Amino acid sequence: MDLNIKQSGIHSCILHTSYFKNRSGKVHKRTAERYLRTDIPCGLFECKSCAPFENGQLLKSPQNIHSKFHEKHVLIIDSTSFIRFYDLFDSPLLQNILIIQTVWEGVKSKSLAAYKKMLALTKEEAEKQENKGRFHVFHNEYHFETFHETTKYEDLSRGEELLMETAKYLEKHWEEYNVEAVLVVADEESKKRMEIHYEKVVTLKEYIQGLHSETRQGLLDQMSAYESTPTSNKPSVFAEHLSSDLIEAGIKAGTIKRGTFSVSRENYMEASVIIDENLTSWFISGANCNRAVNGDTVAVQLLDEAEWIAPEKRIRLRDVEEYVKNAEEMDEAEGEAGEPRSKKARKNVVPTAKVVGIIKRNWRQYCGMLLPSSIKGARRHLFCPAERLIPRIRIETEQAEILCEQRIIVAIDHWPRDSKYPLGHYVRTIGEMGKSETENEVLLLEHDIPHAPFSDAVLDCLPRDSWQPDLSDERPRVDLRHLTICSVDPLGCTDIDDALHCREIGEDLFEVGVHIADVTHFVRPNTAIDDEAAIRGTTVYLCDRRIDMLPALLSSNLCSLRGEEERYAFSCIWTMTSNADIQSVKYHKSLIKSKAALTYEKAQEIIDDPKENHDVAQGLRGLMKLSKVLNARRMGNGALTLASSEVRFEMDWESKTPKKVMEKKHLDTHSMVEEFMLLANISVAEKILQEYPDCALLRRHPVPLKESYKPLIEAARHRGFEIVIESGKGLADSLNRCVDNKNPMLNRLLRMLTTRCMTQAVYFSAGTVPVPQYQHFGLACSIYTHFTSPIRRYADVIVHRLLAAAIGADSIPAGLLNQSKCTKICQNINYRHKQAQYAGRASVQLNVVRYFKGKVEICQGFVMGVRNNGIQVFVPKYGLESIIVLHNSSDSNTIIDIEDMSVRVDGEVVIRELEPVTVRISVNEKNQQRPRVELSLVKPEIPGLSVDFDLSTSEGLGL
Amino acid sequence: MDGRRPSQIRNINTRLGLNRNAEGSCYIEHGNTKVLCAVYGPYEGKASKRLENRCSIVCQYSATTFSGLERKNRPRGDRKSTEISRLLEKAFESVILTDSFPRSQIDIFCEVIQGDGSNLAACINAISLALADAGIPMKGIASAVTCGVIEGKPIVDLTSREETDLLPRVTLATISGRDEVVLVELQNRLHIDHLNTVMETAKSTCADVYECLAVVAQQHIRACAPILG
Repeated sequence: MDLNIKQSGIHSCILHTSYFKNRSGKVHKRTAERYLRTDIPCGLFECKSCAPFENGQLLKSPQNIHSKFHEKHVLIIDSTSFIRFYDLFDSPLLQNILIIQTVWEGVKSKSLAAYKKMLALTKEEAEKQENKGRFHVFHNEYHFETFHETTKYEDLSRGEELLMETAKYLEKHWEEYNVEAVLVVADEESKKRMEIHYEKVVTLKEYIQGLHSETRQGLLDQMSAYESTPTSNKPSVFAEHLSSDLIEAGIKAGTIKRGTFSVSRENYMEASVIIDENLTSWFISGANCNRAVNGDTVAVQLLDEAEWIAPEKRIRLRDVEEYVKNAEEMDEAEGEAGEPRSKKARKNVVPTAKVVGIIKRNWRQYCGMLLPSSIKGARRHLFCPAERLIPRIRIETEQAEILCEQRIIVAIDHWPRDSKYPLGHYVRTIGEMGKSETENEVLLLEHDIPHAPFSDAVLDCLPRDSWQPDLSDERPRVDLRHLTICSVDPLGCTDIDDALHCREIGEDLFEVGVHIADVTHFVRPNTAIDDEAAIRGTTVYLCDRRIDMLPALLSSNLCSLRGEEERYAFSCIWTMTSNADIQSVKYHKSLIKSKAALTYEKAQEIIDDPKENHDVAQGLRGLMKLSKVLNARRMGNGALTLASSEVRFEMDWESKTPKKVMEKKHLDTHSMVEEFMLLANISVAEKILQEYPDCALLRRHPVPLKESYKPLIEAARHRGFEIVIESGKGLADSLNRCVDNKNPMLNRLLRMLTTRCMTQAVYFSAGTVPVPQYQHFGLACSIYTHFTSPIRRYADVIVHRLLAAAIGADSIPAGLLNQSKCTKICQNINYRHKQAQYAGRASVQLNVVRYFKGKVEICQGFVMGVRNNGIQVFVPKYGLESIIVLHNSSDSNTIIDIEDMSVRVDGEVVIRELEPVTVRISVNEKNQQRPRVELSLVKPEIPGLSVDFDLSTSEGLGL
Repeated sequence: MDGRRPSQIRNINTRLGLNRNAEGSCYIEHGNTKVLCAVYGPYEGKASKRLENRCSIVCQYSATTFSGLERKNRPRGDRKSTEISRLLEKAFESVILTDSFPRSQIDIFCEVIQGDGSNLAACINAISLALADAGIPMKGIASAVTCGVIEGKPIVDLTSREETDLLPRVTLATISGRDEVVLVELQNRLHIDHLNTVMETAKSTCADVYECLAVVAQQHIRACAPILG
């Protein structure tokens, strides 16, 4: 076939045949043309023959960096070395790397993580100056000299052959510039095979060893994790995983189920897997976990009923065990624990299963620290992740001495059958242990919270500083500046997103308005700022820092409904009678001017002070009256009042250390604001659901399963109360009845237990679950959404857009009417929301440790649970929950009775669940690296119950 | 995707006058897209289709069982091929000087032997050459090309692998590479911002294709010259 196209650069055309599978599994043959070119740039900076096509960047800055090759050489890497060691290529030591197209495709098809890395390195980071010319992609498969349809070497794989051809060609091509093309491969075997045909082949390890650089050791450490060849004579600890075919067949037949593996917070040897929609969970313990790590998607198989066991009801934390044994002994300790427990006849057996395979790993990079090793100069170390649910990771490093003082990041590589720990490698160092910045960074990284400063693209979306409200805007907006509107918020709040007003407009008729900051006016869909907010999902509040969802100009200025300033708002206005019967409701965008920005305390004062009689005071009193009616009605419907263990720190902002702990006080004004926010949310939810029945973003709180109430019922039964769980109303009423005059905290403790029985409320798209499940159980309403805090929650931004479109105030962006897209948004914000909560709690705990540094305090605590080997104690003043562990129970007179939930000494009951105890709080600094808050029992005195461990903080997190 | 630059077309290969029964015939290859075309007429034709002032054009497009990746029966007269047939008729009504042959009919048959993208464009090119072979007077040789847009950048002469995506694609036909458009067809949604760039690229590529076709036609005439005298 002759070529008649008058186009440059094409050398010839061949037919390339490939085979592929279609959706139904049928194999098809595809023959496509492939044009081989002469104008593919080699990437070399000096190359004159390629210069007309593209200016290469390789070898722009040759360095004398290697002992074996002279200063001008280019590395051609193979796909295996990139997939296995992709973290290494971050290092500036590896320069002038050529990735050929064959490798590119290979990496793409085999490892997504490596591919993403490769993409980042070659595309984005290439923009940076220091990365100029580090990478070049050579399209060898379209080059006439490096691509052949037929195989030349029978002893090489296709990939290796193409690699070789490229290297040979480039070596010749670069001859005049005196540049060497060096092939870098991952393992010895492929090196041996390739060496026969091409002499400049090295393994990556050899190459790094030959580098003239001080820091090469770090790279070698990163590599070493993969080097450890499994020794075959070691006994295998775990059963083999089934092949994916067998798992797939099992899932089809129903013998194998898939689910997410979640490790118990109390006992690391136990885990559960939720296998279906009805939240049925299977229990997994010990070696049956079979190398699954928390969060993995696993395939599980039910054991025979004879093998079912009950959860151990024993607190087993890694740091507890470590307290007694050092890291070296732990190998054995865990081995013993892994053995099947004696087959005593047990009551309370639960469906027990074993993990037969891992469908998808949920591995990420973990922050944490190295455990000190007793052997000096050992290479293999155990790494302890900050996240407690993650097992220890074995890594190899030569620089343990340095790393011991640092918080580091480690990635898991694999978990072979014969190893008790997953094997990983060192990725990077975060900073010095104990520094507040380092610990905060760890906290944010661990909770996967995007906390980088806003990019320029995002900041470009902001309005200019001189922004003024403008009523002549093309979108309809109502002027409400004449209304007496005020906002009520906590002290020091800068992102005020809600304001209220109330006025009498007739005989027994009130107009009540909730005004929410109009964030969507500034955050337009499909802009950089919107994308960023969608990713962040929520503002994260830490004790000493706030990580905003929107840039500060919006969150604390233009969108913040500050007093005496004109601001855009989204208003929801009801007309209601004094019985709070809603006559009508309307929504519109508005321009408001808040008359006063009050704190809860100040508002309460104004309401209580009869001398105050101005507009604001009257409005507040009206609101308060109506809110009481609303609250009573909601309670009547069976809304739950739940308790949590939240505390707040008063910070010393200069030294960033906590000064004082404040428990959150509850004022009537709190519930006043809350009532109206709930009302607004419910009204808006109804409106958007009516308008968009299949894509409205709503929030639901599922009804808990009966079984999940078990701990609550048990605990209450021991105290002589009965809990009704048939309905939300029954539950609320029975909780109200649980009052013990001798123990005023009892009610709150029970409510806390109730909270723990429930699952979290989630965002979802209407139409994805059956309508009865739309309900919000905790608030006892059939439909709910979030509308009132668009500054700090992305869900509200979406709801604002939906509502604006529903009332014709704005056009609807196309993506929003798509249910699957809405579901995607929901998933992300649910995740971010959860992480933000965890991060907030972790931050409190971090500060508790800081607060107690050098202090000892005697406090009242409450027993939240009794376990086989210890008791769980909760200290309400600091929201601290810890475990006091009982040692060697055999030789003391102390008996723990888990049936009765009590601890007896010499037959006499001294501790019972939910009873108060007195504890001493101090910081244990025995371990310099990891000080922790320690509780010890003061009253009642029990020999043996002395050591304790903090359950609520992350392991290894501390000052 | 296959080693071409975004603005490079595939190799075009042709043979004219294969079918001696037909007035004009052409076989064309755009890379792996292979189309056979035969032209009959002008002849008196069916009375029902007869037009008083000009000749009518009847076109039939079909694809072989083995033209795609899967071997499946592709019936004639299904909606897709009928649509293409009508498109071709409309396009060539404005190319052929139909006024010269009142009350007569021209039949055009197009068969895709192997389909590898840009089938419609290949058919137009084939028909143009077949008409030239038949010696039917035209305003000029029509040439066509299919363009797609990826990330705002136009790519020309799509192959079937490139067509399978949700890629917006425009087929454009012009006369003699000039700015005279006889057919535009759009598949999938195209963002309005990209329309101009696509059209510009398509037009210039049509001109390139025209040059190829013109060379072929000239060679053919030269080859035929001794026979015709």
